[in-house]
Amino acid sequence: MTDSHATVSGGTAAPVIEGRGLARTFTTGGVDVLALRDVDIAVHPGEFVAVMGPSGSGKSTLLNLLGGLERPSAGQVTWRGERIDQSSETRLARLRRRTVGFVFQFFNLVPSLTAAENVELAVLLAGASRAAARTRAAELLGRMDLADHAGRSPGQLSGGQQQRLAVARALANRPAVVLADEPTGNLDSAAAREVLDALREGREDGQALLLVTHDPRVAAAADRVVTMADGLVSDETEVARGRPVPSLLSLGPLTLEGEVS
Amino acid sequence: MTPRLLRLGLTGWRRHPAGTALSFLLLLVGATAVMLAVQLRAVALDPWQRTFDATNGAHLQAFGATPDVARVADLPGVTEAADPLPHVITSLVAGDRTFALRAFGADQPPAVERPLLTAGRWVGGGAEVALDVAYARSLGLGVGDRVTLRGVDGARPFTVVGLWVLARDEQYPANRPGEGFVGRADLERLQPDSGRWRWSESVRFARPDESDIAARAAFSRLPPGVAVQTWSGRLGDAQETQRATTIVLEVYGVVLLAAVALVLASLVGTRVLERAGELGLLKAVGFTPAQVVAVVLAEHVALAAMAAVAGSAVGVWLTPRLLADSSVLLGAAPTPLSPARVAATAAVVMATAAAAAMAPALRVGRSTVARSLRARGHDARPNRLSRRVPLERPLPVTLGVKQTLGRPGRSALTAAALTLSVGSLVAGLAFEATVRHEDALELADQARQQADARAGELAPTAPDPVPVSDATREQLKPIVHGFNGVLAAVAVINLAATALVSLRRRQRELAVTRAVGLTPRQVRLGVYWADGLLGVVAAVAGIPLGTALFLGVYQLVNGSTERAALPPWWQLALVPVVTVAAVVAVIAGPARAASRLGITTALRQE
Repeated sequence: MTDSHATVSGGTAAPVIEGRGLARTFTTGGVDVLALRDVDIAVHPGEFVAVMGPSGSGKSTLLNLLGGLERPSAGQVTWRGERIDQSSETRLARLRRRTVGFVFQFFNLVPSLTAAENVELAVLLAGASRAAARTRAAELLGRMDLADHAGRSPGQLSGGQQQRLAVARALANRPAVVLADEPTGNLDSAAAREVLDALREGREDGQALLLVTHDPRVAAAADRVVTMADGLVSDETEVARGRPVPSLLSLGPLTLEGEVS
Repeated sequence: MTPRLLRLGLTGWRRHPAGTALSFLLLLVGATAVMLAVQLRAVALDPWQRTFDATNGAHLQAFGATPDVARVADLPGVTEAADPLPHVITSLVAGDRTFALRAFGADQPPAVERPLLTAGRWVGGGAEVALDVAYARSLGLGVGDRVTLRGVDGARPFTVVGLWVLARDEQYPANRPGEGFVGRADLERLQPDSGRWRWSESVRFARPDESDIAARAAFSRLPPGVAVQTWSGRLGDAQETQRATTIVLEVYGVVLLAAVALVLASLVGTRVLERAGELGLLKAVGFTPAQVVAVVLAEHVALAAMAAVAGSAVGVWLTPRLLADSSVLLGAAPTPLSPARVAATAAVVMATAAAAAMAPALRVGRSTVARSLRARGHDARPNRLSRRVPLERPLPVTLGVKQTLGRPGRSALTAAALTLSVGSLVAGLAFEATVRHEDALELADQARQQADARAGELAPTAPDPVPVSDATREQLKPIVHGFNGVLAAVAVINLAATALVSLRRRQRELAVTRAVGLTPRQVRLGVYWADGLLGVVAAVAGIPLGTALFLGVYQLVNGSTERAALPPWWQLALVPVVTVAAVVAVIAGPARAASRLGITTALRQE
């Protein structure tokens, strides 16, 4: 299916995050550049959606709009049915705490805090007590195999460890959806696999995952793959288990377990 | 250093205009401060001699009840003598207040001990008076003001037409009564009985050092009741005042230079480390560590040279303005700018900039290419100190405190510079408190010692309603206030530079905290706490430092601290409040901008 106005339904439950008619224009050197045009997308509870496409296709812009990090030039974004694209920055910040967890390509951890404190910060912001924050941080660090590094600064961790820590932080408040922008793009293959496993297994409460990636092996793990080109959704594929991903055939035969066959 | 290295160094200006502008501003203030110190020192170290020369000062003066005082003009070695100058003691009424006045009668300025006009003109027509500038300033009088002089046959209105200065051993109000010149005819109207006039005679010697010998000789030739004063006696008193000024100038100069050096070290250090990536590129294409250091030094020393020239000009422009309200002697004769002083200022500023740039430049020079290329400047990192602060609510507070503790070197430099500024402010407050305290003591003494029975007094005069102020204090006031002003400017630039540089480096981190859920207000509060904490540290350390500084200088100047006073408790209590408020006011703009920057824009920045 190739449609410049794709609507991704993905399931029968109400979407946790949804964009309707999303457009985003940037002005560079006095010239308007349309980064995203009239995109509809919905992500449902527990769903894993991968967004693929070449550089400059609008993947990251879409993720930023859906996460409330940027405001759309047109269209609307709703989180669990509540429109957020016109909310104040303060309201957005408060909503983000429980609704969205972010994982960025370059980790973006807070360097002045220890690994454990990076996770605790998110939990405390959501209103938990200090004891609860420590317990949750310890639990997540254990699950991400980072328990021994809790007191270290982010700069003392390897790239893979930093990204696993970012995943732990994103999951800290059991958000409705985790938005991950090229989470493995800056890692070697072993570390990338660890991070992907962390993202898949860490979602113990059935959070939705919207992940931007260039890597077909990563996309192969998704329930759906949305492909973008020139600011439009050019392809959207429901992935059936055990079958090759049609839009990724050009990259080589893949299985849904993420193995290159 | 080759021209190519110099050019490479200068490209840093173009590539980092904001940082360069801040560094230049700071160096400019530093150079201004140094030039101000140099100029004030030059002005304050010899004000008496310069005024003495400008007024053709008397090497010997005789005072008596008759014109016979003119006989001192016959002493051997006298080269120049003025006509005997008559005067009377009268009362000057300004508004509803009355002050004693020694009114001299002279239609022309005397040839010796000739008043140097600082405003207006000499008395010409009738009912005009030219006043000693120190006296006029104390009474709040200026050229054009109307006053009343009391003569034997009643009060007469006069107009102030000029203000003048002479190299007295002490100025009004320490030297009383106040003095003024009227025309000879007006003197006669004030006191028609010339037998009640007092007289003075001023002479100059070919060899001034012989005036003391001449004074002893004069006693045998003069009638009884004639007093003689030599210039060496007056100079001795002036030197006592001068000594105090020198001490204060030296202390303030050191404090100021230390503050500028600390701020420069902090700012330049950060700038160099921020450019580590670029410098790493130079090493990658074949530059040696020494050449990399040379590039860094070129950038900063050239900037310092420009700032030194501009700062010298500002300092020279500022000096007379600073002295406008100062001791009359300091402001009397201008001190021209000398090339030696500009060179000294440039040398100090360039050396300070080079010293500040050297350590980080060497660090980058020694670092491996790969490491330099990866470097992004110094982020705050968890350390033993910051780990002791548990992360808990209110989160902006703990995040801010952890940020400050996580960069101990930089925080220490900023806090130290701020502490010097706060300390100087406290020393200034102590100085003011001591002035008030000493004034109160002297006013009480004065009330007990009303001058009476002066020959030639026309009307009983009440004590002047201004305290007898010490010449030293009067001379120190503008210096203390001026240096405090410059130190405050250094503190403001320090804070602004720290906030701008720190926030620019932390944009990404702040954006991350917002992505995680911090509101823009919480981000701002975090920034306030990070820098406000330094303000608190500076205030807490600055109060004892300033007190010790003041008491130390007071002890040096006066030999004891018996009459020194400390600022009232409420002023000291306000110091931390004012410091933190000033810190927040300075960083409010950058903090607001940082908290409003788009999250994705900030995240894209390296």
